[in-house]
Amino acid sequence: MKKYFSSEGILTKFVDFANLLLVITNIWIIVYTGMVDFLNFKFPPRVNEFFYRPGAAFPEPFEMPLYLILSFFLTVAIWLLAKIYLKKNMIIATPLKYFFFLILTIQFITKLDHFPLANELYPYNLRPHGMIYNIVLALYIGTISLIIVEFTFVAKIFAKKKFIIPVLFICIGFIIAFFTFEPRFPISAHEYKYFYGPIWEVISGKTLFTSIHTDYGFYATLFFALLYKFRLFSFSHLPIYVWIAFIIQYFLSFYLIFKISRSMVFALIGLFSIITINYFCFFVLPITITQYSAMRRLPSVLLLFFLYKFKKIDSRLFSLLAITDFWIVDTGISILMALGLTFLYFTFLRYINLKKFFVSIISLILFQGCVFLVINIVHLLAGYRYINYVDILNSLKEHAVTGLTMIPIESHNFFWLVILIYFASMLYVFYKKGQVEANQLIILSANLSLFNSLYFVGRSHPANILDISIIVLLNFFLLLGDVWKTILSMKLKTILTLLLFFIFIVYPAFERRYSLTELVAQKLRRIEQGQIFTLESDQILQKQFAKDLELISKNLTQKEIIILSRDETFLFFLSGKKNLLDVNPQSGIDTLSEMNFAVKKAISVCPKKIAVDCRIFQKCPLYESYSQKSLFTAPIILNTIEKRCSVQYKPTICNNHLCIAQTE
Amino acid sequence: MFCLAISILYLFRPYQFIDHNKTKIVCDNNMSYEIGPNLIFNSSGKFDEQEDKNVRKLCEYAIINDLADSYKSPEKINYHLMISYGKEGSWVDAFLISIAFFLVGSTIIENLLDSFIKMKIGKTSIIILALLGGFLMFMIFLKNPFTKVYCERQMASRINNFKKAAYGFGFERIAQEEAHIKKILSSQFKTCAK
Repeated sequence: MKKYFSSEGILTKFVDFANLLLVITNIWIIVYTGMVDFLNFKFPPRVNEFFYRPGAAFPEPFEMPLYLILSFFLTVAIWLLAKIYLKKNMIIATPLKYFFFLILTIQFITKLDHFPLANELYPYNLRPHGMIYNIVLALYIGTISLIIVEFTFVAKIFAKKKFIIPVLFICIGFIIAFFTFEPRFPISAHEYKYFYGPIWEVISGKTLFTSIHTDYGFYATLFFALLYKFRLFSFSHLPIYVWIAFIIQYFLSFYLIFKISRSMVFALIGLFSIITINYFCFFVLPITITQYSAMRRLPSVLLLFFLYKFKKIDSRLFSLLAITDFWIVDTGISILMALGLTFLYFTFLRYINLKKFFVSIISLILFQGCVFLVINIVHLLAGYRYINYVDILNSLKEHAVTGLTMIPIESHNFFWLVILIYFASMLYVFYKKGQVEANQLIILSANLSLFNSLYFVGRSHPANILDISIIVLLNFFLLLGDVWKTILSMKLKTILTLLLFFIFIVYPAFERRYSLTELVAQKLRRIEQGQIFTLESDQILQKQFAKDLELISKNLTQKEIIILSRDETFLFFLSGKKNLLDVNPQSGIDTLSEMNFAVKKAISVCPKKIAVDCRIFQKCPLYESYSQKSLFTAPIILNTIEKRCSVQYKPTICNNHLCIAQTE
Repeated sequence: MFCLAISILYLFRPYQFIDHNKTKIVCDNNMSYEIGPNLIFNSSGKFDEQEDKNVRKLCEYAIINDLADSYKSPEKINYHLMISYGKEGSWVDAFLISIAFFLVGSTIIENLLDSFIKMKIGKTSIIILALLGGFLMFMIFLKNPFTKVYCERQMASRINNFKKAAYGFGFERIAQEEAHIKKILSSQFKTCAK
């Protein structure tokens, strides 16, 4: 026991590292929270755009830039100080080190908030028999423990057999698929519209960004539109792709952690930590929200996998593969910035020289430019317009600059753990002389975590910490995995295993036991309904819109029509009609400039007949739309078209959802 | 470096402010309201004339934002305030950042000066001289500007706390409140900076 606490003991070395880490992280938090407040006071942000829902805009001009600038400068400080302090021996008495560690840890903990959404019930109601939550929690923990123990034993017993690892990998793949499988593939209509809408518009001949905006998918939208054209995709299949993305994301995370740590038990704890926090702690079924986690974060995880496979970050093949980044718009930008910063840090560490740094940056920009050019050439050959890539920034401007749907960050925040892990990674690679390959992965994963976390910094809802958690946890487990393989003491490994299991699996599952129970309950309910591999949305759409489709096909015979409804996205792709408005979904209209863009073509045509939600004309009782959560912009759009076309639409025929309205 | 370290310690010392998320108005009719989400600003524990009027109306009629003054404000005070304070910073944080700044700065200077100057004066004497000199420089040159910044930090915490509590009303609405709040804050700033 004494040897652990001696001046050369492993615990004391950890305390030395932790003290420096906690000093840097605490300083970051103090300076960041102080400066954000101060700058917002000295230079109060103004909203210069007209918003249809003014309550949704909260500009934050300082949060994101300050987050990046401070992180960068403190990392540079770590690098500079590493050069100075490594030459000196700072002799501080061991008891004093432990005292500082205690004080610094307490200071850091006082800055943290509780676990994201801890003990929150939303959107569920408290069950009358509270015991059920503990039973489900126990079963969940028990199942995971069993899997970890069994796989660890099997891996150990058959360690010398070459076939065992591939077999275990396949089994783990199936286990991930099982944990993330949602019977009947449910969707959230409101969320899926943001993918369905742009996909249908591209299929209909519009060009992304130039003719139709997209908030999320770029390569994703083009990919699914292309598959549709080759009859390899139908809209109801999208949740299957989302599920596959989750499986790949989680499996690759497990694979990377296993390869770095060379430990099955460690990798499994990493995997189930990620699944618990990233999947089961969310308040709804993650698969029902297209842009949650996998679709957004998978490109970052893939990038790490490519780096592991290709070993060298400056390899041309790696740069080429990095161009898969723009699957989703904002993560594409995060990935490019993460790569640029990683190249810079590699230059500091002398993994690449200055010449290679510039060559790598230029190669990356050129490859990216080439891909954009090829996409435009294919577009032009296929009869589309060219993509105006500058418009990619419009969506970012709307959110990041004008502050649409931004939420200010609180000074007490669970997010500070992300900062802690980031600086732990930086300290580790700058101070340790070790394997280049592992360090490359750690730095890139840390920078991916830094830039992906911008999503939370801008829109600081606790649920968004769960969204980015996959990248953060991967960063953490890769970092710890590199240390893990150097630990020789079985006793220490056992203690750490139990600690990690408790902190990263039991604790989050306990804090989110209400949502965990409800997510499991939903799975079981759907299994009970039977036909678990059918696509639920197919049946719902047919039932919900059959009469509306009949009304549209009989009364609106033109190819291009206007449908003003919360559910217009579904009505368009079900009816096969093209959209006369340049917006899909309509709930995406937030500003006057977006409205002008959306109605430009419509007001040049001023159609005689359009389909309108019957509630606008009060021709039907109130009903619940399929995408009830969506913003109801139909009245505003109708009003705009009527004013600019100088017409008045009057309803002629109506059913329970829609009216066919005609000009007088 | 000592002078700057003392300035930073002075700048980052803790202070408290009224938390608009948790401070409540408790009306005589037993209804209670958090002040921030009801667009009521309070930074000193007392309401000014306008805010007092708003609070009386809130308790009497359960309304806010009566800009047209359509409702008559009750003559008697019909509420009391339950204040909840938030705290910004701590002495440990202030010392931490001050010491870190001093250590890093002095290490850098020491490395630079090592090459150029070999002083024969003893280390203890240097430390004493630096302490005294640093303290004097702070009192003469830096106390006033850093007091101003410290007071601005306090004002920033108060208004940002209010904005976050009232966020549901969106930014445009909060901007309208700012004009009124700025008057209150500027007098508080003068008191702080004295």
